[in-house]
Amino acid sequence: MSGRPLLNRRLDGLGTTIFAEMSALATATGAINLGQGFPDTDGPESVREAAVRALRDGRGNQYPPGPGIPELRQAIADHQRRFYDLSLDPDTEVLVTAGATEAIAAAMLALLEPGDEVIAFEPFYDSYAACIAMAGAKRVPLTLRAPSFRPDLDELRAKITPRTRLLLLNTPHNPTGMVLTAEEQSAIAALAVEHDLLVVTDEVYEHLVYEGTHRPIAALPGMRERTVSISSAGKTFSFTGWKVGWVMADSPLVSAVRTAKQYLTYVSAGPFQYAIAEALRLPDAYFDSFRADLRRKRDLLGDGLRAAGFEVYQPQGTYFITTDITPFGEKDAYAFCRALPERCGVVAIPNSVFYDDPDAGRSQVRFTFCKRDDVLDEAAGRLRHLAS
Amino acid sequence: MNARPLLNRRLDGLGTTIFAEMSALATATGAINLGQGFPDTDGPEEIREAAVRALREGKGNQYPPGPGVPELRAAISDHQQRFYGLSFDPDTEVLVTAGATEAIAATLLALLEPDDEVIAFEPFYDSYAACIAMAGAKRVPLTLRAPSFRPDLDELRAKITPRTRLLLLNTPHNPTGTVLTAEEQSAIAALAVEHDLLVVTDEVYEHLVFEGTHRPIAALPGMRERTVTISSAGKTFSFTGWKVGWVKAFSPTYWTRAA
Ligand SMILES: Cc1ncc(COP(=O)(O)O)c(C=O)c1O
Ligand SMILES: Cc1ncc(COP(=O)(O)O)c(C=O)c1O
Repeated sequence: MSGRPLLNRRLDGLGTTIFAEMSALATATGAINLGQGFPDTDGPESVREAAVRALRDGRGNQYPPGPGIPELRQAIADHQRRFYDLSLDPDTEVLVTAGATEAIAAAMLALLEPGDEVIAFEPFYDSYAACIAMAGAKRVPLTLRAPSFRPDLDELRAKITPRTRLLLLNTPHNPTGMVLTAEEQSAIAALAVEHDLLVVTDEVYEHLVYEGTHRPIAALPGMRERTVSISSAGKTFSFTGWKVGWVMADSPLVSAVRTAKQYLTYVSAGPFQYAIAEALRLPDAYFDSFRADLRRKRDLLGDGLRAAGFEVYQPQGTYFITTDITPFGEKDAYAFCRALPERCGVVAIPNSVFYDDPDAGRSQVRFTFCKRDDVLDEAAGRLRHLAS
Repeated sequence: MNARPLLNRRLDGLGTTIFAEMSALATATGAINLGQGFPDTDGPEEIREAAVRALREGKGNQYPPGPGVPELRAAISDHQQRFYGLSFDPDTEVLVTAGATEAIAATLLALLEPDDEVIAFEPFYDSYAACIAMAGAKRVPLTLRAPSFRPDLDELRAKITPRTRLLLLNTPHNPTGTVLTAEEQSAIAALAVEHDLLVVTDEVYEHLVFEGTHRPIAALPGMRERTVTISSAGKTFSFTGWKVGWVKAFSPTYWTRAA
C-alpha cells in the first residue's frame, strides 16, 4: 500500500540501532558480547526483594501517580542532597520516567520547536539524534576528539547561533568515558547564561567516576533555572531491565517535560519504583564498592586490550573503553566490528556510528567492562589472537 | 530566564491531564474515586508470582531485547490466533511497548509527517491529541453523539481529504463504551482501502465486551497491510501498573520471504 514511505522523513536512516545489529551478531555467532552496556550480574538482592515485596503487597501493581510515587520522588531528592548538597522539592521538581531514555525523549519533545538547534557532544548516545529529529529540531555536533576527548570550548562558543535552544550534555560521557572538569562546566554554564540557553544533562553514569568527581552542572550559579538533569537507576543499581529514570529541574521545567512524558508512557512500572526508592537509600558502602569494582574491571579490560594491541583511551567514568584499531592496520571500525565475532568471538561497538563527522571516529571501537571478571579475561584472551 | 515559553507550541494547553486533577481532588477530599480506570483489586496471583519468579531467576532484570522478550512475542501471536484466528509472525510482526500509551505515541511519531491529518473519534483518550500534536499533525474529530455514540459514516467519508494519513480507531471505545459493529468496521475498512489510509486501532478493552463481540479490524480484507493494532495487558489482567503493551502489524519483508 501507500506509495509514501511508512516511516516519516525525520526518522529516516534511524531504522535499527547498532546495538540490535551487534547483539544479533553475538547471538548468531555465540561471541562474548562486550557491545551493549548492561551487566551480566544483577544488582543487590535486597533491592530485588524490595520489588518482590512491592508486587506481593500490591504496591504499584496499578497505575502509580503520573509524576512517580511520592516515596521515590522523596528518595531522589534525598539522594541529590546527600551526594551533591542540592535541594529539590520532591513534589514539583522531580519527575519519574521510564528510564533515562524516556526522560531524554520527553525533554526534547517538550522543550524544542521545529527549527531549533541543539548542540550535543559527538560521539553521542544514539537516542539523542532520534529525539532531536522527532522534535523537528536540528542537531549541531560538538566533536570530542581522541585522545583526550575534551570539548573545545571555543568551538562550542562558535557554534552558538540565535537559533540555538539548548545544550545537550552527557557527563560521564558514553562512549568516550570523558568526565567534564569543574572548569569546563563553569565555562559551559557561562555560555548558557550569556546566550540564555537551556541545558539538558544526562548523568546516568554519575556513580561511575574513577578520576575526578561528578558534579551536576545544575549546581552552578545561574544554572538551576535553565537545567534539566536526567539520571536513572539502571546503571547505578545494575537493574537496567527495570527502566526507572528521573528528571530533576525547577518546577516550570519539570511541568514542561511532564507534559510530553505523560503522553509517551503515562507512567512507568510501579513495583520497581518502590524498589528503587529503597535502593537510593543504600549506605555509602554500596556506592563505594560498586565504583571500586568497576574501576578494577576497567583496569582489567584495559590491560587486556592493550596487550592485544589496541590503542586504549583510558576512560575517567562510565563502563566503556574506547579504543583505536589503527595499530592493527585497520581503519574502518564498522567493518572491524562486523568481522570481530568471526575473527575471535567478541562483539564490540563501532563509535563511528555515533558521529556526524565520519572521519572523527572512523577507527574507534568501544568495549564495555560491566561483565564478570572471567568473561573479561576470556574476551581479552580471544582478542590477543588479533595480532597474530 | 527565557522569554519564550518553555513548552513548545504544539503541546500548549495539554499541561496536566484531567485524571491527575481529579485524582488529586479525590485524595484531598477523601472521596470515592471512580475517575481513573484502574481496578482496586490486583489481577491473578499466579501472574503476580510469575513476575516474582522472573525477578528471582534473573529473567528480564537487564535490558530485554528491543522488540520484547521472544516468549512474550510468541504469546501475543498465539493469543491473536486463539481469539481471532489471526496469524502474526512473532519475530517481525509483534513489538512489545511500555503500555498501549507508548505504542500509540511511537506509532503516531513514526507514521505521521507534519500537517498530515488524522481522523479520530471524539471524545478521545487524552493521549491521542497530544501524540498527534507532537508529530506536528492535525487532529480531525469525528464526533460520537449521545445517546448511541455510533460513528456517522457519511460524516467520516466527508472528513477524508487528500491530506488524511490515518484513521485512529478505538474499540471498545473509552469513554463511551461503543463497540464497533461488523458493518461499521466493514464500511470503515472500505473507506481506508479506497483512500489508501493507514489505520491505527486501540483495542486495550478487547476482553471487556458485554454486547456484541470484539473483532480486530485488521482481520478484514485489505486491512492487514495498512493496520497497526494496539493492545495491552493492563486492563485485561488487572495489572495497570506494570505497563506492558504491544503493537501488531504487517511486516512486508516477512510475507515476501514467506511467499
Ligand atoms: C548516556 C546514556 N543515557 C541514557 C541511557 C539509557 O538509560 P535508561 O536505561 O535509564 O533508559 C544510556 C544507556 O546505555 C546511556 O548510556
Ligand atoms: C483507550 C485507552 N488506550 C490506552 C490506554 C492506556 O493503556 P496502557 O496503560 O497500556 O498504556 C487506556 C487506559 O486508560 C485507554 O483507556
